[in-house]
Amino acid sequence: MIAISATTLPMQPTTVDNPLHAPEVLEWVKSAQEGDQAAFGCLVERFQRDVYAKAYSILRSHGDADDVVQETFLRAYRALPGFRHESSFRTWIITIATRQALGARERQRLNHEPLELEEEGREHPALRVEEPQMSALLDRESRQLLREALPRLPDRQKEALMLKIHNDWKYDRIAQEMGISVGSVKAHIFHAIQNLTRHFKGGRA
Amino acid sequence: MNHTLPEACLKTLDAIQTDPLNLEPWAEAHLRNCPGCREARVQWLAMEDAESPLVPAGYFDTLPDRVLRKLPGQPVKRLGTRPLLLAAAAALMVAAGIGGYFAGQATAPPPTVTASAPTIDTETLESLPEAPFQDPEDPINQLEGLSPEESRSVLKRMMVPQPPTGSEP
Repeated sequence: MIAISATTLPMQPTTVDNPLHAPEVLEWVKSAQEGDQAAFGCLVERFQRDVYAKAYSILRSHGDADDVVQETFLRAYRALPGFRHESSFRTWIITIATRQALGARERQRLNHEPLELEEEGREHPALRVEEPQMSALLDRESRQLLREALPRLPDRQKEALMLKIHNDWKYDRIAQEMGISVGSVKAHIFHAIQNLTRHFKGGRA
Repeated sequence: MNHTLPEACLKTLDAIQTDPLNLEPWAEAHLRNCPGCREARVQWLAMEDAESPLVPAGYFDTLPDRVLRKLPGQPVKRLGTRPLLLAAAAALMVAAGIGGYFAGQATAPPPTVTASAPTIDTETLESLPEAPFQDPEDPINQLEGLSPEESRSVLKRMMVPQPPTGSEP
C-alpha cells in the first residue's frame, strides 16, 4: 500500500464541509483503535456505501461485492491499530477494498482459465506470494521511500494527489479547486502515481 | 525522481491509465511479476470515483451487524456482582419453593371427609323460633344469669305486694 506520511504533506486535510472528516469520524477511529467495536460499527455504517460501490465497480456482482465488503471491514478492523492517519480513513479503507476486489477478480479469472495454460509453464497460484503478504511487505518498505519521494513530485501532481487522498474530493471538485479540467486532474494524479512507482522501483533496485 | 522505469513498466502504466480493469494479457502478465505496477493499479483504481449501484432492499441496514458479528474477539458481556446476587437469590427461592412443595406433599394429613349440615328451606326456618330450647326472655332464664345478691334482691321485691293498676279488670 502506498502510504504517505502526514509529516511530509504540504497541506493538511480539510475538515470543513467534509462529512468524511467530521469530528465524529476521528473519534470513532480513535475508539475503534482501542477496541471499541461499537465505534467500529459506526465507521462501517458511515463508509459501507463507498466500500460497496468500489467493490461493485470492479466485480460487477452483488454477491462478490458483498464478500469483498465484509472482508474489507474485517481486515480494516485487524489493521486499525496500525492506522496512522497518513491518509483519510476513507482513502485507507477504499484502498483495502480495491486491493481485495482486484484479488477476488484475479482468483475468479484463474478459476475459469483452462488447465492447459498452467501446463504451459504458468506459475502455480499456490507457489506465488499471497497478496496480503506482499501488501504488508510493500507497506513496510514503501513507507520510508515515499516519505522521500512525495516532496519531489512536481507541485501540480502533488497538489492533485493530496487533495484526492487526504480530502477525498471527487475529480470535479479538485478540478474546480485547481482551476483545471477533470482530465488534467486525472492526468496529474496518474503521473504522480507513476512517479511514486518509479521511485519505489528505483529504491528497491 | 531520478529513477527510470523499465519499458515494460511504462507500457503497463499507460495501459493502466487507459483502462485499469481491461488490460491486455501482456499487461496482466507484467502485473503478476511487478509489485510496483500492481500497486500503482490499486492506487489508481482506489482514487477513481465509483457510482453508487443499486443494492437489494435493506442491504445496508443489516450489513453493519453482519460485519460486527464476524469481528475477532467479541467480548463476553461482563455482569456486575449485583445481577449475579439477584440471580442466585432467585434460584434459591425457586429451589426452596420446589423443596417446600415436595416436603408438604410428604407430610400432608390424610384426607378427611367433612360433613355438611343439611340445607333447610326458608319456610321451615320461618316457622321455627330463634331459640327453640331456651327463650332468653323467660324470667326464670334471666334469673339464672344473676348473682346471688341480685337474685335475693329480685325475690325480695317480688314478695312486696304490688299496688293495683287501673288497666287490670
